[in-house]
Amino acid sequence: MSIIALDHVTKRFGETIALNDFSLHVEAGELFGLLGPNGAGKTTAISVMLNLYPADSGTIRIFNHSMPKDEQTIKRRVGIVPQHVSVYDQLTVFENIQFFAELYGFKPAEAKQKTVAALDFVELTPHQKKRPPELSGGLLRRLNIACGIVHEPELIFMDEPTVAIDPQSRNTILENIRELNRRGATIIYTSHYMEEVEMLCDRVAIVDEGRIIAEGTQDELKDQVMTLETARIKVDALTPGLLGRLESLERVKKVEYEEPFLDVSLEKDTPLAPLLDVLHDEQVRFTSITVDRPSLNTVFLALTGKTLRE
Amino acid sequence: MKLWTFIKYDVKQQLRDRSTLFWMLIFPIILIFGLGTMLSAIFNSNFSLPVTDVAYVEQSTDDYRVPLETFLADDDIQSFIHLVPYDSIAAAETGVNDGDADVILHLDGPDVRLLYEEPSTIEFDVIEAILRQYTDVANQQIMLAETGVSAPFESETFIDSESIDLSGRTPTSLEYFTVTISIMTALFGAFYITGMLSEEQPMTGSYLRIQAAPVKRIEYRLARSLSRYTLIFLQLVLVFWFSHFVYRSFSLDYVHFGLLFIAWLALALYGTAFGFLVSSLPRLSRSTKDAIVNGFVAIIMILSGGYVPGFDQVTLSVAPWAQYVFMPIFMREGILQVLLRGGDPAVFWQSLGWLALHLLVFATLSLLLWKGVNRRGAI
Repeated sequence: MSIIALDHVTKRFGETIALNDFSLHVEAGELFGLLGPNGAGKTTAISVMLNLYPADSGTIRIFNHSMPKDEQTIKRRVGIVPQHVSVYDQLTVFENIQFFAELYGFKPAEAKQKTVAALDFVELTPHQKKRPPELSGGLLRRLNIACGIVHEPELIFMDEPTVAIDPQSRNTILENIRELNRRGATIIYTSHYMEEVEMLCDRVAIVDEGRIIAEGTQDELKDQVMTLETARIKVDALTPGLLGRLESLERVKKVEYEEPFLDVSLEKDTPLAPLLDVLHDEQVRFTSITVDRPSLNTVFLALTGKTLRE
Repeated sequence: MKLWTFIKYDVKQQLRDRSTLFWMLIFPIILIFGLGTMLSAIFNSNFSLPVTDVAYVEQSTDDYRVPLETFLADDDIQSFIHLVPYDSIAAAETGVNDGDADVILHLDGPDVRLLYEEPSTIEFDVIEAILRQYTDVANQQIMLAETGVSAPFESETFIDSESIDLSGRTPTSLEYFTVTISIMTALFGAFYITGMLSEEQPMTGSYLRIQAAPVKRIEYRLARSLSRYTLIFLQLVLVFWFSHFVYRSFSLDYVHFGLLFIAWLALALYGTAFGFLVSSLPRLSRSTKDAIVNGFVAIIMILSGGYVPGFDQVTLSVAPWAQYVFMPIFMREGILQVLLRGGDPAVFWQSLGWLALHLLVFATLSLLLWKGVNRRGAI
């Protein structure tokens, strides 16, 4: 059963169409990636799912409840980690987390226990008495996460939670996200960092201009767009007939040489043995062969004609 | 319970915010202290009141005339009161109109009346205070005499240096500060509403989390309003407490807290309505709206004497209609007297009516503008 079911959702801001016939289905327990460039509609999609902006048309069902009709019921089971650190500067780390725990209906004593657990989870216990302005960017991001998960939600929206932080903090946060998912939370993870999405997510939807243009596992997405692979061979030197012989091989589309690399474009899943035989015959010595696997960025490029960082 | 959670954490935040602490708690004390010191310096011990010509109309018997005239013949009192006898009130009024006297003292049977035109001056206030002392003691004398207890008449009993000491005028700073604080209360409401609405844009700041939480918007707004007005109430308590204990001559016994509370409440609503109006203005940026509110606050504060004590009288003398247009609850003759010393509350209720009219206009305009904004689909 889908934990999230969005069907034909449209959202306009004046003349701008932020979501255009947007449909999305996410299963319970998934770590689902929403990938797209800035302004693609990822954050608007989350906002509409939480009724922060009402949708203009379409249907939204979360936990099999209808939004906005069952808004309060849904929200009790959902957590959000916003793109911008959303905490109160005048409250300590501990108080910030406890405040949000109490907002989700926990009594102060219970909220305190949850806060201790959340602090421990994001490894912020040593900083619990500090106020947000005293924290580094990475610690702030962790506080942002703690505030969003303190009530142990079943569904968590994480909107670019690793923007503008150091690699070490990023790794800690990514590990936190995996752990939350292992504990059973369904996570919707938005990012324009394809490496993170590739690393974390089971399934991915690629969003562009308010629409989902492709959806599936990473392999499924790559299969949708990739017909060629590139074998990159590091060679010592070329012989006069080598390029011609390689180009004449079956399923080889193009051969290019830029010292010291020989790039051979092949149809997908072409065996490399004939290629190596030619090299052997021509007595060309090579020191390495790598086959360039497509990335999500390649997929995005193929689908939209632009890169994710645009 | 969520209401309490919001209030608890919001008040905590406000009390930790240094700028809030300064403007809400420290600045008012500095202001009171500064104004108090300034006025004390003006009315120092070397200060002497100018002599006031008092038109005296005696229409009584010797039983009441002799004690009063004996009292007024005291050297200390003679130093600033010059009695000019008249046969009738009409003649005395003619004398006042001709400039031969400033105020009328009418001994009518057992009653002692001081008649003067508003606005009163410090001199008239002092004469009134002395006469009140006299009548209070005289009444006690009569009561003691009626119950058969002898009570010797001692004229010096009436000269209470503490009550006549002109530093006792220092609470004027409090009176003016009451105007200031009340206007601040009202306009803080305006700030609050414009601030709250701009803060309540989806996907911005901590409000995003509040929106994403299972919290009703009305609950959140109510809690925030309550917490902010709790702080203002704390500020008012502090101001009164400080003024009362530092400038002891000001008696809280005379303050009509019921009326004052209604005035604050009305002004808070006024500010809130104004805030709604400004926030409903289309095609204006947040900073422009803030500038409008700030400018409005500054104008009202100046015109009503909030910054410069007494400026309200200047405003009213130049533009009498201002009492109906700008903050009618305070820019009305005699309002302060009613709130701080008692008197006929008719002017208070009349002003409240005008304020209600303003509220109605603000609310109607806000509603119309708001509907217009929604129709155009702007966010």
